[in-house]
Amino acid sequence: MRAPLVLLTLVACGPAGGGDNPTDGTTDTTGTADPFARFINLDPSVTTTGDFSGFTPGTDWASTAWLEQSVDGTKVASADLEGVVLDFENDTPVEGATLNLWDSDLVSGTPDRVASSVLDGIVSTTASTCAPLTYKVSTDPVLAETKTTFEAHQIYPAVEGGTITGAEFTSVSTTTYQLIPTLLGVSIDPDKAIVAGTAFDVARLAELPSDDNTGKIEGAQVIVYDAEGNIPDSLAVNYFIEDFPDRDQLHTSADGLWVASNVPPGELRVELWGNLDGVLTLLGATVVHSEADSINISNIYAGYGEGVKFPSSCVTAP
Amino acid sequence: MIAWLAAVALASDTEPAPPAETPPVAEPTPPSDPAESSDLEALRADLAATEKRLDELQKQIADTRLALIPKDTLKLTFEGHYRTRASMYGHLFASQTDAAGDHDTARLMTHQLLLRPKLDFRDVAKFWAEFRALDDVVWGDNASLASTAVFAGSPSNTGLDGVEEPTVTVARAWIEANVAVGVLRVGRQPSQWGMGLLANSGDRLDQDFGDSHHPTTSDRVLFATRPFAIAHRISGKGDPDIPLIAAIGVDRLVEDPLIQFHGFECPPGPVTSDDPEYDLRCDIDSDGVTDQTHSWVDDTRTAEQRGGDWWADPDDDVQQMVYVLAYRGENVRYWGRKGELTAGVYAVNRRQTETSSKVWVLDGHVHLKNRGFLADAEAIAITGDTRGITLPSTGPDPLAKEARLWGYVARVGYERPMGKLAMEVGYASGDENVSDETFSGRPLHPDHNVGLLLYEEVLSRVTANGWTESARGLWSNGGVYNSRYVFPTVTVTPGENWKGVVGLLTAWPDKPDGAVIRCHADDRTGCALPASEQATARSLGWELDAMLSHTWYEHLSARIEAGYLHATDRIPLDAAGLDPKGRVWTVQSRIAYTF
Repeated sequence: MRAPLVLLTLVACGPAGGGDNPTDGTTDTTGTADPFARFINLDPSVTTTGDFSGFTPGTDWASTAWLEQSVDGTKVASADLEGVVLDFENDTPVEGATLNLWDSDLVSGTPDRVASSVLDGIVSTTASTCAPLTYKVSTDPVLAETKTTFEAHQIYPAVEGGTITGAEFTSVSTTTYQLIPTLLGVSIDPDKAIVAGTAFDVARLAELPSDDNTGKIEGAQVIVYDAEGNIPDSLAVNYFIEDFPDRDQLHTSADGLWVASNVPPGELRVELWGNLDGVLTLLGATVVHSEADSINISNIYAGYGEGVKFPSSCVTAP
Repeated sequence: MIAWLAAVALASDTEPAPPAETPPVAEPTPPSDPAESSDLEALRADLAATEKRLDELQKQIADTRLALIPKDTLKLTFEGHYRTRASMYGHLFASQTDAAGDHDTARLMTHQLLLRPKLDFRDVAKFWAEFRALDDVVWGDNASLASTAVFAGSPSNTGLDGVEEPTVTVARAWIEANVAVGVLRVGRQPSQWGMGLLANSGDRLDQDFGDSHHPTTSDRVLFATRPFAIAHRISGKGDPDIPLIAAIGVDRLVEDPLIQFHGFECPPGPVTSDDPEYDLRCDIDSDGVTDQTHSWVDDTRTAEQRGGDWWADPDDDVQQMVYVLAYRGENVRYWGRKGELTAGVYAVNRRQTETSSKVWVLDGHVHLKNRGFLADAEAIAITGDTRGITLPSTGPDPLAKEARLWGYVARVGYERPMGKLAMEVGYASGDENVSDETFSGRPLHPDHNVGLLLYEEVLSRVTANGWTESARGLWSNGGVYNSRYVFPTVTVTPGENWKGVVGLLTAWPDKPDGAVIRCHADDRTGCALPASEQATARSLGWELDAMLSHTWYEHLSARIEAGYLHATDRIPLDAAGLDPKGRVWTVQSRIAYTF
C-alpha cells in the first residue's frame, strides 16, 4: 500500500491572498487559549533545514518582505500544450477527465479553457508560458471515481517551438482522498476540503520534478487561514515520513510534505513556519482556492508569500 | 461363515446340475417284495429332502446375492439451504433524503442457495462438495440485460456490491475418512470453532438476527482423534467414552502472493552508483544504474507475468499449523444433573518466511448448559511479529509490526421451555493508530451477528469508506469493530415452531482512531482532533432489535426482523455517505428451505 501513497507531483505558483495574520489566535473559536500555538509549536530543539539566503523571514504575513522575481515579458506567450492527466496515487492515465484552466490563477467565473482527456489520459489545449495558472481536473461525479482536484500556481517554462510538452495534470482518486485522512486519524467532512503540498526552501528551482529532493524543508509547520483571516475550527494539519502520512509526525520530515484537512471552502492562505536560529519565523505562504469535497495541491516556497515561483527560464537575470 | 462361504461357492455354480442320464426303461416286472419297496421309499424320501435342502440353499444364495448388491452402501444426501431475504431501510443513506427533506425508503431482496451433496460409504468414507449459487444476488435485472429497464425480463446475477457474481461456484470440496485411530479430513473445507468469533463456517441459518455472508474456508489437512480411546485400546481396555478430541492440521494459505513483497524500497530512478540513494538490490544487471522502481510491495504484477515456476519459491508461502484440544461432553454429570460441557483450545501458528511473519492465534471456548443455565464464552488472542503488513511503522524497521489483538464474547442465560433470558457482552480490540509499531485492531468474525444495524450496516460501511479498497483487510464487513458491547436478549418460544427474540444493543468504542471512530476529549487514548471535530458522546449508540420466526413442514422457515439504531457522533456517518442524523431503521423478512 505504501507505493500508491508516494506523494506528490506538486508544482506551484500563485497570486495574492488576503486577510490578517492573527498569530495571537484571538479570532479562533476552538477553545484553545492560543490556537496559533496549536499548529505552530515547534520544539526549540527542532532545526528547520534549508537554504534561506537572500530572504529575511518575518513574523507576520502582511509585514514580511517577500522576495520578488522579475519575469522576462518576452517569455510570456501562448503555446500549444500536450499533456496527460495522471492519477495522483499510481500515475495511471485518467481518461474522460475534464480539465479547466484559469489564466488568472484565480478560480473564479468561467474557466479560460476546457479540455477533456482521451485515450491514455492525453489532453491537448493551449496555455501561457511563464504565467501562473490554476487548473481543475474532474471526472463524472456520478461515477465518484475521483475527487475534484485543483492545482494552483502552475507555471510552464519558456518553450521553443511553441508547444508545451510533458505537462502533467493530477487527478486524485476518491480512494486516495479517503484513505490518507483515515491513516492520519481524520474524518473529512463532505462540506470541507483538503489542501496539500511540499515545503521548499529559497534555493529550490521551480522547474525541478517533484521527486527531486533538492530544497525540501524539514522541521517546518503549516497553518491555514480562511478568507477572514481566521484559523478554521475544523482544521487539522499533518505531516509525512518518507512520503507516507504519519499522525505522530509533528512537522515536515525530509520529504517536506504536509496536508491540511477539513479546510472550509473559499480563499485560503497557507503559511509555513520554521525555527531559524532558535526563532520561530514565517518562511513562506501560498494562497489557494478551496471547494467542498475537493483537494487543492499547492507548494510553498520559502521567501515567497503567495506560492508563486517562476522557473529559471522565465526570470530575467538579477 | 463356512456355510456362507459354501453358499457363495455354490452360488458360483448357479446353473442347475445337468440331469442324470435317463436310465433305460425296464420291462414291467412283477411286484417286488416288501423289503425292496421299503428301500425305494427311503431313497425317495432322501431325494425329496435333498431337493428341499437344495431349494433352501438356492434361496439362501439368492438372498446373499441381493445383500451383496451395493445399493445401500454409498448414500447420497443433501445439506444446505435456499433463502431469500427482503430488506427495507429508513434513513440509512444520506441520499435517501432530498434537499426538501423528503425521504424514500430503500428496499432490496437477495437470494442465496447453498447446496452440499454428500457421498457416504458406510459412515467411514465421506465426500462433500459445496455449491453456492445466487450468493447474495439481488433480485431483478441489475446489469441491464434488457437494454430498456422497463422491459426487463431475465434477472442478472448482480451482488450486493453491484458487481456481477458467478452463477455457481464450487465453494468447498473435501474428503473425510475413518482411519485406524481417528478421522482424516482433506480438502477445501469449512472451519468452525466455538462461537464463531475466529472461524465461522457461515453455512447455517442459525442466527437470531441477519444472515451469514463470510464463510471461513480452509485448504486443510486435518487429523482428529480421541487420545483416551487410543490409550485404552493399546492397553487392551475398552473404550472409556471420554469425549476428549485432539486434532492437528496444516493449512496452505498462499502458494505465491500475486502482490510482490520486496522488503525494501527502490527510489525513483534511474539512480547511479555515485548517488547516496543507490541500492544494489534495485540494479538488476549490476551495471551501476538502478533499473527497478518499486516500493516495499509491488501490486502491479499480473497473473500472466508469472513464470512456470511461480509456485516453487517456498519463502513466500504462507501456511499455518492448527492444533485443537477439546472436550465435548453432552451428558456430563455436574451440579447434580447431567448437562452439556464443552471446553477447548484452538491454536494456530501462521508463518511466512519472506516477511518474517510468526504469529500465534489462541482461541479458547467454554460452553455449559445444565439445569436451565447457559454459559458460552470465547476469547481470542493474536500475538507475534510480521513485516507483511505494509502500513509503515514508526520503529527503526519501517515494516516491522507487533501483533497484539484481542477479542471475546461471553453469554450467560437461563432457559426454560417457554423461553430464555440471556446477556451477551463482547469486545474487539481497536487500533488508534495503524501506522505505529503495534497492530492491535481486529474485528470479530463478520458472521457473529450482533444486531441488525450498528455493526452489520453502519460500521461496515464506515470502515469500508475510510479504509477504501486499498486497505480492504481493515474493513469490518459487519463484525464487531473496535468496541465493546452489551446485548441482553429475551427469547420466547410459545410453541415448538415459534420463536421470538428482542434485544437491546449498546456499544462503546475501544480505541477511537479519530477517522473511523471519532475520539472524545476524555478518551484514554487521547484525542488530537480539533474541538469541533471531536465526538460529544461516549457511546457509539444503541439499537433495539426484534425477531419472530416460524418453521413448518420440517424444512420451511420464515421470519421477520426489525431494528432501530440511534447512532451517535462517534461515527462519521456523513463522510461515509450515510444519513448524518443517525436514526436508522430496518424491517427485514426471510423465507428459507433447509435441506
